[in-house]
Amino acid sequence: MRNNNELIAHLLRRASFGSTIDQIEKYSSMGYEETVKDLLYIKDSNGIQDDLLFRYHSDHSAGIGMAGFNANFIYKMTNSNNPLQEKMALFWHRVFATGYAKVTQGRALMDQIEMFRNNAFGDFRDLLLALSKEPSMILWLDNYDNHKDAINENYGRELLELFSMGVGSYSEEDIKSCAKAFTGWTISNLEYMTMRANNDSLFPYGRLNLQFEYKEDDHYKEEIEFLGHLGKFNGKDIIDIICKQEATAKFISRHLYSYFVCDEPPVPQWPYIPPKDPEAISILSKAYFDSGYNISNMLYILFTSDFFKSEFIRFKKVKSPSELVSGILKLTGDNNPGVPKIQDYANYASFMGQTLVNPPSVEGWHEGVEWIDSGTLLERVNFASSQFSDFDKPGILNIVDNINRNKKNIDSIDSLIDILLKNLGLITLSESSRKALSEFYFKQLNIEFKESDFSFHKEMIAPMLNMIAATPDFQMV
Amino acid sequence: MNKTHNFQIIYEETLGAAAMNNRGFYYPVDLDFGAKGKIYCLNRAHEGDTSGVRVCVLDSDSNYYGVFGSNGYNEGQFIYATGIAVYDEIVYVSDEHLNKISLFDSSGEFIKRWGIPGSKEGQLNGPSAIKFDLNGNLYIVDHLNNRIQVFDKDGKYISGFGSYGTNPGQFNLPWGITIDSLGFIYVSDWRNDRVQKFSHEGGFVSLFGSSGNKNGQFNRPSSVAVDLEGDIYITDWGNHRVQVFDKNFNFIQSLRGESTLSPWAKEFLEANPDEMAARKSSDLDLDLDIEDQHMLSSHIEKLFWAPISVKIDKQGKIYVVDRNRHRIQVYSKKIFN
Repeated sequence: MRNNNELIAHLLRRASFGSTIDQIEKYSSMGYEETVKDLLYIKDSNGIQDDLLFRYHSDHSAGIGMAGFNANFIYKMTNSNNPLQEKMALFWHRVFATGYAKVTQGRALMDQIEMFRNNAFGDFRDLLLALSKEPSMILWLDNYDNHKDAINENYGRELLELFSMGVGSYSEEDIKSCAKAFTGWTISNLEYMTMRANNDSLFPYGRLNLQFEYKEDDHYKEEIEFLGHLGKFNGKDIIDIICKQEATAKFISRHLYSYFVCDEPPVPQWPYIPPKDPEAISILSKAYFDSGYNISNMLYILFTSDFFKSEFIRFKKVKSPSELVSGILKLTGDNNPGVPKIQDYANYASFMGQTLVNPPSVEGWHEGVEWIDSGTLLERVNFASSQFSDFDKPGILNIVDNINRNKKNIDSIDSLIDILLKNLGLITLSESSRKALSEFYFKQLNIEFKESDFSFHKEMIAPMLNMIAATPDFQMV
Repeated sequence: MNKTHNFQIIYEETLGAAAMNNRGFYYPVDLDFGAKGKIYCLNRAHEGDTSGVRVCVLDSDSNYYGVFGSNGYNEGQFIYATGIAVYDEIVYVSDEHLNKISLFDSSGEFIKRWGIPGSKEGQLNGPSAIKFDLNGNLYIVDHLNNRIQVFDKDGKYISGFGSYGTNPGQFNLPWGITIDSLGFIYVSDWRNDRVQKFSHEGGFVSLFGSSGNKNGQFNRPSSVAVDLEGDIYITDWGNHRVQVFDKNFNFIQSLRGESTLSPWAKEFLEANPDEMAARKSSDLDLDLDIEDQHMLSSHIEKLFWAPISVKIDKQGKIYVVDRNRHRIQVYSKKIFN
């Protein structure tokens, strides 16, 4: 059972944003494959009470800037009944990185993330088509400036380079053809909307949401050649051709592998550095074609594969800031939607280097060990400490109760550490971290085990949780 | 419009414009009327940008008289400013996070604040809308305690009624409140999607409404107002409309918003001729196939987007605080003979 619990815990760390021991045990009783299926099944209600969020937090409803949006996204990562859907929304946001710095439209960016939720597990073709119609993307990569007699290659280039195939799989002529196929894909009221975006204008009545518009008379209608295919192509035809490519299958497979299994180098290095596990990429690519480009199918194959279940990959990926923040909030059970501090949680993720919907460039964030430097590490530890030090959070009280219910089995510092780690989601610590924790316990708390009337109170447990959160191990997933 | 009734509500004008500081509104949540035609508009802003928290004072001719209040935990400051009421030239502001009622004079000078957090009699947990009766008693929607509490204007507890639930007289996160000319109390029972009517002493009289988006149904009604003829106006917040009923709760009319440029909005655009020109050449009333009214309102500027409060002035004009559009849409009642 313990092995099964540990495997479930591994799955919930990677396919969700962490979990409590209660959730692990609930899923464990279902079995591993049923858990995977449950995560891939989108429940009708995600359990998020939008009415409450919109009542108390105006900007979750309107979305002027990115602050309210960030808080809304972190809140959903923490509390949604469809955690893998949120995880995939974050995944697609990383792959198709779109930034507020240029779009200056919180509402349009929120809509893009909602589109990622809606297409989280579907057909990759549908996702690319929806992405190409996203007004925020049209602004971000200048496709509004892509005209039949004056091609702007920006979107066409990134669609091939960063969004689907990767460098080396197409020619410069293919980029031009791709761009031509997307001429006329623009937004309504273009002049006014781009002027407002450039001016970061709130006037007169707040943000006016962007609307996709296809302008037939601005679409390039001559025959073009794209990846060896000849025709009078529109954007949808191009996406159909892209999705048939082996390079696309490998590209998406490598992204999924990097996100869920093992960090790969940044995308620009992919043409020069082979995948860490080519066989895994082959398996995922096969699933891509076998399922008709279905992402859900690829994820099922991934999560049930030996390369994912392997003990050697566990706790080897650095948590992204949003994963760290939402993971801790899951543990503390701090989910009241009606308080100002849910904005603070998003701010903490920013301090750690990840401002959602404002990635540093179209490449997205450089992840893995690049999340950590001396400044961001301090922010991580401080955030964890601030949350675990609040003894009265429901999750902390629950952990204390769990420990006291099992206190007859706690007769040594090792057994205390074990039960703490179990209650933090069955995480593990290195020997050196365990030793440091043990020394801290005896030096700072110095409490004897097994006294007759002894019980662990919250003021004792919280410092231990703080110390665990300060270990390098806790930064890993 | 129901033709069997002898009045129609007609759009008049828009007041205000978005601004994070000074003149203008930033996520306005409520308003009330003072002496000499002054309108006190309460702006909550949001946690990501709290600089816009303030009361903005104007009149119906768009004359601007200044702002007071700010974000913070200290006296004269707010975290979650929610409701505003003016009585005897004193401005009262509720804060549903601090559980305080703050008092200012008509020039905006802070006087004092009161309120003790809790759920016991006279304590507050999330005071939202507030309303004075003719005797100078303050009715507070104590929304997280799911009750109405009555205090004198100095904060001394008088009485209360209501509890959590779905039965008549019970509430689920109530929000708005008004008192009609006969002394009846109306409460928008937000999460029960209904409006309840009580006697002046708090006895249950009647209720109407159910969940939905048809006429007479509500999606989180946030505010209610009653005019001198007893006709009822309800901001149907989640359906992004205002519904109008007669005094017997017969549906009369649904308002979806018709905003035009306010004087302050015009001034901004005249000072920015490029933006004015681009705006004039745009189609701001796009024909969109969008069922989700929240989404539709995000695209079409004239529509209400989370209308949050409705108030009626002494002349009978109806003021709708249009939160997500940072403005007030003003309507009037046209009575047919």
